[in-house]
Amino acid sequence: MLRAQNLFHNTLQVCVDSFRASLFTRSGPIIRSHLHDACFFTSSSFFFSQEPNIVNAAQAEKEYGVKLKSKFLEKYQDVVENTGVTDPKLAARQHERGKLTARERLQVLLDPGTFREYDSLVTHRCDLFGMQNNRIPGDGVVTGHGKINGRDVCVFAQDFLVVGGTLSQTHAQKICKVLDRAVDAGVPVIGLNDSGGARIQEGVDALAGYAEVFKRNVLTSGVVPQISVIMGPCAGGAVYSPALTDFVFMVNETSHMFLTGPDVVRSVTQEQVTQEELGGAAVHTSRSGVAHVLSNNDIEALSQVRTLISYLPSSWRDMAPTLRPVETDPPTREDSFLNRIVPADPNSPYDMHQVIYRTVDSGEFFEIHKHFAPNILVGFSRMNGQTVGIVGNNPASLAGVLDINASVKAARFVRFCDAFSIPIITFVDVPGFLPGTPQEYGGIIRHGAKLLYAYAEATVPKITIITRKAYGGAYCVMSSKQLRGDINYAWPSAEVAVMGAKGAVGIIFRGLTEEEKERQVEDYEREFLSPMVSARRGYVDEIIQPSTTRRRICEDLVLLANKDESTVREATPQKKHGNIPL
Amino acid sequence: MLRFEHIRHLSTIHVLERSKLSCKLEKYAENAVGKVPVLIGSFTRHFTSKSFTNVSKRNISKVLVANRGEIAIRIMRAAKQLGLRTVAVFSTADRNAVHTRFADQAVCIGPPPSTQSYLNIHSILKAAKETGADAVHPGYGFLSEHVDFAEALEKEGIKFVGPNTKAIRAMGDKIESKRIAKKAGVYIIDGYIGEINSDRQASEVAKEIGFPVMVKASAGGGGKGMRVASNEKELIEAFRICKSEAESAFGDSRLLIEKYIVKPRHIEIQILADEHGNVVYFPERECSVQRRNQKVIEEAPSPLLDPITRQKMGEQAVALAKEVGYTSAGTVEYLVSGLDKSFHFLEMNTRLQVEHPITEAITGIDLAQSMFRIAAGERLHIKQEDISIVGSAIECRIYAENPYNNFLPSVGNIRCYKEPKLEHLKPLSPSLGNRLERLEHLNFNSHGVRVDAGVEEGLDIPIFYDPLISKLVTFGEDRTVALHRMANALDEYVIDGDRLVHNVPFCRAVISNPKFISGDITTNLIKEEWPDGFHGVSLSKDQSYQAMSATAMLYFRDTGYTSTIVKVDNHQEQQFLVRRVNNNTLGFQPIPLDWNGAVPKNATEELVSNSYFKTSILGGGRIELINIETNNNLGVIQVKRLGNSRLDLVASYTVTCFGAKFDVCLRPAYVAVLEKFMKRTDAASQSKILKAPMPGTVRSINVKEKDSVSEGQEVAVLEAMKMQNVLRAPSSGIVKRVFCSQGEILSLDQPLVEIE
Repeated sequence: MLRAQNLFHNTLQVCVDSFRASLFTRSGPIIRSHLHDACFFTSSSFFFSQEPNIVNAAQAEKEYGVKLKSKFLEKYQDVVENTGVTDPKLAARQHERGKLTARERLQVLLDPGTFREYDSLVTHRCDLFGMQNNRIPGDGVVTGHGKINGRDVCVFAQDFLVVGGTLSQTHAQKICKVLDRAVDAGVPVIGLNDSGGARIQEGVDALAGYAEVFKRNVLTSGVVPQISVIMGPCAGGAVYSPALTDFVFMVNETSHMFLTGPDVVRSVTQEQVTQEELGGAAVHTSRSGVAHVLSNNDIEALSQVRTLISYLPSSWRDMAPTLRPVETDPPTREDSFLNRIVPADPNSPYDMHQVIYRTVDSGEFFEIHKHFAPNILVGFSRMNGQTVGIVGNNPASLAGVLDINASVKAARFVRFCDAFSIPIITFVDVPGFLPGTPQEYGGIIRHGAKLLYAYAEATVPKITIITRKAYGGAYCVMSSKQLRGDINYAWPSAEVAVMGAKGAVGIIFRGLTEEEKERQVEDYEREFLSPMVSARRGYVDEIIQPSTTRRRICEDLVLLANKDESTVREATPQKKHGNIPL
Repeated sequence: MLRFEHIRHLSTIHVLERSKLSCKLEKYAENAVGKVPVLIGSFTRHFTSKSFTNVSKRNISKVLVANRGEIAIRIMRAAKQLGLRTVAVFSTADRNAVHTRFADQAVCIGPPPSTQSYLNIHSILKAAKETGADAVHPGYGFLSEHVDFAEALEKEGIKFVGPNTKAIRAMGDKIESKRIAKKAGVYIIDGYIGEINSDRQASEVAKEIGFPVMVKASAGGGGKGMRVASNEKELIEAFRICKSEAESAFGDSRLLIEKYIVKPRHIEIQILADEHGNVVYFPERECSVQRRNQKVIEEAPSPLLDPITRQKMGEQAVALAKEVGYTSAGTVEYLVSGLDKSFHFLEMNTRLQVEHPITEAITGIDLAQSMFRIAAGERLHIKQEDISIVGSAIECRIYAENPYNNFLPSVGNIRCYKEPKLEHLKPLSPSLGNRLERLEHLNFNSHGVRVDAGVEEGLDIPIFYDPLISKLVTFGEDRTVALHRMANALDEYVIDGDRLVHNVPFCRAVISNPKFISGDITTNLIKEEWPDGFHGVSLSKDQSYQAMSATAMLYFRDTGYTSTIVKVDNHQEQQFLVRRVNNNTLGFQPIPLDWNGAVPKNATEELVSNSYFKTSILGGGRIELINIETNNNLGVIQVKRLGNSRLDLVASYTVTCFGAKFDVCLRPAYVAVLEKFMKRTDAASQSKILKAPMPGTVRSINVKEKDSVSEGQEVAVLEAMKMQNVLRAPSSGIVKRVFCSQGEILSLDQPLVEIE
C-alpha cells in the first residue's frame, strides 16, 4: 500500500493546522475550524427559526384570502419547536447529578458548529402501556456527525432525560444508522452511553434492537475505531455494545456497568454490594479491565476522547494523522537521563514511564488501562509526529512480570495497533511469567498465548528495545526477533537468558557444593547476563547507547514507513482467519 | 609538584573544557607560556617570578576529596585546573552521583549513613593509601574541622589541605577561641564572665559594659530566661524575671550579663594564611539572611560596611590568625551592630566556607586553588593591596526543602534540571576588563551566573545528607544589577521532580523583599518579614497577567484556539478571558470574570503589550520555559504541562514565575460555562491515615492502638536528614492501627497510624 511520507511539511507558524493530511484521509486536507469562539449549536428548531412568528395568521388568512403560514409549520409548529431542545427543568435534574445533557456533551466533544444531527424527528412505534402518549422526537438518542480537531467522526449520545435513555427499536435503528454511516464514510464512531437499558414496554423489539447494534459493532470492529464513553448507567445486555468497541471510557462516580444489578446479586448469591462496588468506574478501570480510561467528570472524559481520537487513523485504510513535533523537541534529541535510569542493582526497580516520556515527542503518552495491570504499560505516543503504540513492562510494579491481566491487556492493544496500521514500540524488562497456582489455575498459559499470538500475527512495523531483563518464555513473547520483530535493540544493561543465573546453575549443576556453584553462577552471568550473546547471534540487531534511543527509533520509523505489509501477509499461509486462543 | 608542566597541562584542560576560550589561549600561546596563567587570575605574577620553584617544598600530585556533592566538584575543578589528579570517595548511596564520575578515580567508602562513610576516618585513610593520594581536601562539613582526621593524615604522611591541627583545635573550642581573640586584640562581646548574684552587682556590671545589655540564664536556650535592658530600671526588672524564669525552666537560676547588640548582622571575613607567616584578609561577606540559624542568602560586599570598618575587621582577623599560627583558608565571623557598625568576634571557621564563591567573584581570586598552593608549601602570592572589590555578588543556597512547611527537608528524584543562563539579559559589561577573564575562570558565564551543583537529571536527593542541591551565584557590576540577575536566574532555574520541593520560591521572595533590597537587614529578617511562616508570593496584577498570557500562548500554539478562559488556582479561584490579539505580535487581553464565569458589565480589556514569546522545552518534554517581554521588562516563566497531550481541550499547567507557583486550567469559553455543573473532587475526603511526609527512621511512636488522640497531638517522631520531625494527629479520634514500630525505616507516604 502506498503511504504518504511527507513529514514536516508545515511551516512553523504558531497557529496552523498541525495535522498532516495523509493521502487517504477522506475529508481531504484537514482544516482546523476557526469558529471555536462562537458557539453555534445546530438543531432542528434553529433551522426553522427563520420563519416569522405570525400571531394573527388564521384570522388574516381568512380576511385577505392569502396563505401566510407554511403548511408544514402550521401542522408541526410545536414539534419543530421542541426538537433538539432540552427542557431546562429536565436539564437541571441531570446537572444535579453532576452530569451534562446529551447535547451539552456533544457540544464539548465536537468542534464548535460542526455537529450535524440526523433522525431528530424519529419517534417510537410502541402503542402499549401508555407509551402512545409519550412520543418525544429523537426517541432518547441524539445521532449525527461532527468534527474533532477538524476530522470527521460519527457520534451518538443517549439522552437520559427522554424515557430514561432507554433503547427502543427506533432508538436502536438510529444507532445502527450512525454505525453504518461510519463504516461507509470510514470515520471513527463515538458512543456516549447514558441509558436505563432496554425499553421494557417494547419487549422483544428492544432486544432485537440491541442485537442489531451488537452485530454492527462486530462488523465495524477493525474497520473504523469505535469508542464508548459510559456517562451514566449501562446495565444488562446493554453492556455488550461498549464491550465490543475498541476503547471504553468511564466517568468516576456517575457511571456504572454491570450485567446484573445489586438487587439481583443479593437475591441470587446473598451478596451485599453497592452499585459503585459492583460496577463503578474505579472497579472497571482497575480490577476488571472492562474500561480503559477513568475520568473525573464528563468534561474531562470528553476532552480525553478528543485527545485519543487525535492519535487514531480514521479507518483501517488510513494512516494516523501526524502532529508536527514542537521545534524544541527534534527527533534527533538525545537524553543522557536514559543512560542512568537503569539501576546498577538488577533487583531494584525503576519507572518505565520515565523511559517512555523521555523517548517520545514532548513527553506525551496517552496511557490506556492506566490502573489495570500496571506491570505492563500500553498507550499511544508520537515519534517524530507519527502515532506509535507503546508497550512496556514496568519494573516499578510487580517487577514488570507478565501475568494474566498484563498479557490480555497488552494483547488487545497490540491487535488494535495492528488492525489500524500503528507501529508498535516495545520496551522490554521482564523477569518472566508470574508463578503460582492462582495464575496457573487462571490459565496464564492460554492468556499468555494471546500476547504471543498478537505479536506474532502483527504485520505493522515492530521495534523492540530490551532495557534490562528478557528472561525465558517472556523474552520470546515480548516482540522478539523471531516473532517477526523488525528492529530489535538492546541497551548495554540488557540480560537475555533463559532464567536468572542462580536458578540456571541450580538446575545445570545439581550436585555441586555451594562454593562450586558460586563460581558457576559467575560463569553463567558472564556468559548470558549481557546482550552480547544475543547480539553475536543476531537476535538483537544492535546494542545501543540508551541516550540515542529516540533518535534510532525515529530513524527506523522513517525506514519502515514503506514496509510493505502485503508481502508480509503473503508469507502467511492462506486461511479464513486464525484461531487466537481466546 | 606544581611546576610549569602542570601549567601547560592546565592550558589543555582549558581548551577541552571551555572551547570558547580556546582562541584566547592560542593567542597567549604565541606570546609566551608564562602568560597563560592570566586565566587563573592573580597567580600570573607569581608564576613568572623566580621564587616559585624555590618555595615549593611539598610534592602534591594527586588529591583525594573527602566530601560529596557540589563542594567535591568545586574542589576537584580547582585541582584539575592545577593539573592534579583527583580521587572521589562515595557511599553506596552516591554510586551514580556526579562527583563520583567527575573525579579521575573513585573509591567506595561504605554504606549510606555518613557516620559509616563520609565520617569514617579509617575508610577514607584506606582509600587515600590505596589510590596513592598525597593530599586530602575535606571540603566543608563532614571531617573538615576534625582534629583527629587531620592528625591521622599527618601520621600517614598525607597532606591535609586545610589549617594545621593546632589552629583547628584552638578555634574549635568556643571559650578558648574567645580567649585567644581577646589576646590578639579582637573585639569580643563585652560581658561579665561569671555569675551575677544580686541586683546591685548586676547594675554595676551593666554600667561597666554600657547599656543596652542582655540578661540571660547561663543554662539558657530557646529564648527563655533572656531579657534586654536599656536602662537601670529595666535591668532590675529583667534581672528578677530572668532569675525566676531560669529557675522554673532550667532549675538553675544563675545569670549572665553581656552587651546587647542592636540590629545584629552576621558578617564574616575570609582570610588566607601561608606556612610562612603571611596572612591576607578579603572583603567581607554578609550572611544575615538565616533561617533556623542556617544561612540562606549571602552577599559580598555587605551593604553596611565602609572601607574603614572593613579594614579594621580585616586587620583584627589577620591578627587573630597570626596569634594562633593559622595556615590555609579560614573565616572569622563577627556579629555587627546595624546601628553603629560596632563588631564583635563570634567564632572562627577553619575551613573553606560554603559561601566562598561570592568572595571569589568580587576579588577575582580562586580560593580553592589558593588552598592547594598553600598546602604545597608555597608562599602566599598575593599581597593585601592586590585585593580589591569590583562589583557585587549574591549567593542563594538552593535546598531540597519545603519553604511552605517550616523548611522541612524534602527528597525525591530530580526529573528535570536546568541551570539558568540568563541569556535574555545583557551580558557582563566589557568595562570590567581583565576581571571578565577571572570571572570566566571562576566558572561564571558571560551573563554573570555561576551554579555550583552536585546534581543532575535522574539523580535522587538522598535522605542521609544535607539536602543542598546547588549554590546559585550571580555577579553584577553593582548590587542592583547583581540582585536583578539573581531574580531572573531564580525564575529561570528549573528543578522539578515528582515530590521534590525546593526553596527557590522563597529565595525569590527574599530577593524581591523591599527590606532586603534596601540592605537594612538583621539576622531576624526572615522572622520579622514572614512571622507566620512563608506562604508563597502573591503576584502583582501585571505579573499574573503576564503569566496567564504566556500560558495561554502555549495553549493557542498547541490547540489552534484564539481565545480561552483561564482559571487560576492560586489561593482563591479567579477566572479570566484571554484573547489573542493577532498572529504576528503577541498581545493578550485578559478580562477578569466574575465568580459565575461571566464578563462583568464594567470590565475593560487590558492589553499586555509587546510580549514576545520564545519557548524551549526541557527533558521529559513537560516543562517549557517561556521568555517574555512586557513594557521592556524581560522575564522568564516556567510552565509544566500536567495532562497527557498538547491537544487536550481542557489543559492544565503548573506555572512557576516570580517566586509564585500555581495551577492554571485553560479551556474554551463554551466548555467553561458547563464546568459549574461538574462535581468537584473535594479535598474534604482527606485520609485519616497519617503517612510519612518523607523517608526516614521512626524515632518513637507515642500512641498505641485504641488510644484516643486529639487533633494536633504528637503521634510519632520521624528522623530524616539528621532532623527530628514531630508528626501530629491530622484529626481527633481513636487510634485504629499502628503500622510501624520504633527504629523502622519508612519510605515516603508509608502509613504510620490510622485514626478512626
